[in-house]
Amino acid sequence: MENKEYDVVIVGSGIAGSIVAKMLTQAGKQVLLLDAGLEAGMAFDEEGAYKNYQDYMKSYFMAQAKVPNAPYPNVKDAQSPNVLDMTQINGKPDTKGYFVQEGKLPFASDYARAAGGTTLHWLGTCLRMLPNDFKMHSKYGQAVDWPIDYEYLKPYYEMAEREIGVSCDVSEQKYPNMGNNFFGKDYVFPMLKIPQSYIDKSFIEGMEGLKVSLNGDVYTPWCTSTPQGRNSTPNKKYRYANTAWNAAKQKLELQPFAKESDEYVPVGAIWDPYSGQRCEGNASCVPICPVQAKYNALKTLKSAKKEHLTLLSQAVATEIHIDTGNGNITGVSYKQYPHADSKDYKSGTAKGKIYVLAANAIENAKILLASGACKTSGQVGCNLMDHTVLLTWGLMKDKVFPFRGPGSTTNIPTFRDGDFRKKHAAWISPIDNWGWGWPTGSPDTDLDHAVSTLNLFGKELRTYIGDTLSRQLLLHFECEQLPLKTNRVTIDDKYRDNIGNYRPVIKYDVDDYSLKAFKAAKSVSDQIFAGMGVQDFTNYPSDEPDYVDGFVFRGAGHVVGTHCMGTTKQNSVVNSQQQAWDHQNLYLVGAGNMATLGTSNPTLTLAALSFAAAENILKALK
Amino acid sequence: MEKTTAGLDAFLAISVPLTGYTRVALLATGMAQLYLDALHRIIGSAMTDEYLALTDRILKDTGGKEPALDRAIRQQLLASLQYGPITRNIIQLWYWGSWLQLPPDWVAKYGKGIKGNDNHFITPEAYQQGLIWNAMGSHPQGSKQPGFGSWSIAPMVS
Ligand SMILES: Cc1cc2nc3c(=O)[nH]c(=O)nc-3n(C[C@H](O)[C@H](O)[C@H](O)COP(=O)(O)OP(=O)(O)OC[C@H]3O[C@@H](n4cnc5c(N)ncnc54)[C@H](O)[C@@H]3O)c2cc1C
Ligand code: SF4
Repeated sequence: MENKEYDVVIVGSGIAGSIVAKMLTQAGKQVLLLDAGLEAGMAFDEEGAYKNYQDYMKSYFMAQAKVPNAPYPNVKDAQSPNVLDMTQINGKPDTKGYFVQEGKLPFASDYARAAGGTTLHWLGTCLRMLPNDFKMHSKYGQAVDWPIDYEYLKPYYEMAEREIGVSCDVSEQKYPNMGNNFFGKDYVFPMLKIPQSYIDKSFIEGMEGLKVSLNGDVYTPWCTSTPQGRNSTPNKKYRYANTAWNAAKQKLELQPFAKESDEYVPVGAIWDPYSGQRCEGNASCVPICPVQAKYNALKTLKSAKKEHLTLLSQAVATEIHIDTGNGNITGVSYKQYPHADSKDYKSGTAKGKIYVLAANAIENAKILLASGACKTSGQVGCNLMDHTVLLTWGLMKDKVFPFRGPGSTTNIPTFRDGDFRKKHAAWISPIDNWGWGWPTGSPDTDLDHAVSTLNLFGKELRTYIGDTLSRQLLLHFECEQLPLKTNRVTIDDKYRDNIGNYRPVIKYDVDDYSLKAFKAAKSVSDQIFAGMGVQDFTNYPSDEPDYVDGFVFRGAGHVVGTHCMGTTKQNSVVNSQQQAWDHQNLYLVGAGNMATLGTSNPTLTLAALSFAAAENILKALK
Repeated sequence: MEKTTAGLDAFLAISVPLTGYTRVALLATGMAQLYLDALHRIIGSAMTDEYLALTDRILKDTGGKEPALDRAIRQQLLASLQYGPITRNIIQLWYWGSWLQLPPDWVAKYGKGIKGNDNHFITPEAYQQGLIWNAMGSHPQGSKQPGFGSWSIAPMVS
């Protein structure tokens, strides 16, 4: 290992790192991929993969709080943040969890440091960004424009949709200002849409004809089925077999099926291709899909070309080394721990022609800061963004039977774009299928209330549960956050982990642009609830971690920014090629590159960008 | 052994009115013995036996008939400082699969030195067998998956 020089060294086996590894190895390049997670998580043989996943399942079943990271081991040598650690910050830094939270508000999202990364517990919503999301400055006078636009990303979105296996009905997708060629003529997704839930149908019916006022304008909000990275019925009209490098054209391309009779085959579990060929309605996608009908990055990594891929697990990248002469990266140091929670480790340096950091936005920033890399712009770690999620909840008039199916199958896209973005954030509103689980901890909190406070038992208790829990409705208002220099990840010698690596030190807050959106969104929610006869139970207690100005928001798990893409080496960390301005042979991938957030969950976009990055790397390796 | 079986009958018998589910439905969860074992393990056999003797008496005295049974359960079990928390925990075990920590006051008065009184699912299966899911027309999240597209129609609620 020590002496070998690879074509490319990749740090991180999440979706970003796995896509790059797959594309490069399939194009014949020699790749070393380091991951901080446990060896067991990297098992790809049937038995090992199955056994490890069943251990995750067992931890999930036994966990009292079934939060996103509940199934996955929290190794002291490569800790993951946990939403349970997030509390209000009162004056001094909160150091209880993995993050050191300096405030004012706690950053409320987590990620998983395990093979496969955060897609192990993502929900799988796969929306493209809108054309105007790339032009926030020229369109709305806010933040910045990207150095690339929607048209540039479009072919890569198609590659990402194939890789993830997105189920969606194109004809139903209607977004504000999407233009008339958003998907391209005749484009279809690999699989037909995931059936919308019973709740969705009641909701859509209930909202029909409703007009909503926002800032003096009147809107007729509409619903659309949500594109999702989980398996459904293959679409016979879908014609692409895979994505491959075309050396002659120096491009990545979607390859058509060889034969007319070929069809898309859903990718099943990594231990058994026949498991998870369809979403079976386990309703636990976050934190874990028992059958792997939902996409996770292990599927991509498994399909990388084995002969060209060397995997190194339990290896935590700590620093990259810079040639002071030409700025090139000469190696990545890592610490490899022998077993979970071990205090000792073996040090090593990985060497390649090109280096790719894919450890996710916060960890990428940490590695760059620890190495004194990418210093010109002064922007490393800055512009940390997340969707701030305002939740509203109530009881529907009729039973809608939540806690079934994927987490969300329908959304209200009406407020994803519009002139109001000059004043406040845009948002998307997924309709949640899992009752009040997120805001109130339902269903067990409702059970406890019924038994301990309402003093119910027996048939009365059973009826009460049947009558109330089955009417729970939850709406999200996932508001975009602007890139702010002051929302940032830093490092500090005072705060190190079990093996002496830096912990992320986070400063985070929301500005007026978000606060105004909370107000506007709540007003829209009030109008919808009133219009549909929903009994409102929303409340925002002042002792919640992210309580601000009468509202409580939650993190969406969308960790974005920190090494944004831009037009000059002064205003950004990477260029439009996702190459570090300061280091020719360093590429950063993941949501860290996103210059603004828009209203789509970031993974489809970061996956599309990862295909583009892989193409750029292949060109550079020529 | 004999004693446990006898205990199991009594435990099931009182669990029927406490949960609102039939004896067969409770047996079908496969959890009865494990929950009874949990009582023995956490509050001790002496108190478990005492408790089941009391519930047995309640069922006999009322002939298992309403409204007498309801009143007796409320007055003698739920309103009791000692047996109320245990009864609520039995209900929650059946519905959710998790033992809930008995409050410090209760421990100080009735359960000095008891062990294992922290919040915990009895086994991974306990979570999967919770009755709450059935009561609301659903299935445990992550288990007993009802199949592709099932969520788009109303469930059959038994
Ligand atoms: C609860 C939740 C729900 C979500 N739902 C959605 C959704 O519906 N749609 C959507 O688009 N997005 C969703 N997301 C976001 C999505 O999960 C992430 O955007 C995505 O997984 C990020 O991929 P990544 O490859 O960049 O990083 P990650 O998946 O975080 O992968 C990073 C990898 O790097 C490794 N690593 C980290 N540090 C080091 C180091 N120092 N050395 C070596 N290896 C390292 C980790 O072990 C990991 O394997 C959700 C997130 C959460 C938390
Ligand atoms: S609903 Fe179930 S089967 Fe479908 S993706 Fe979610 S966890 Fe997997």
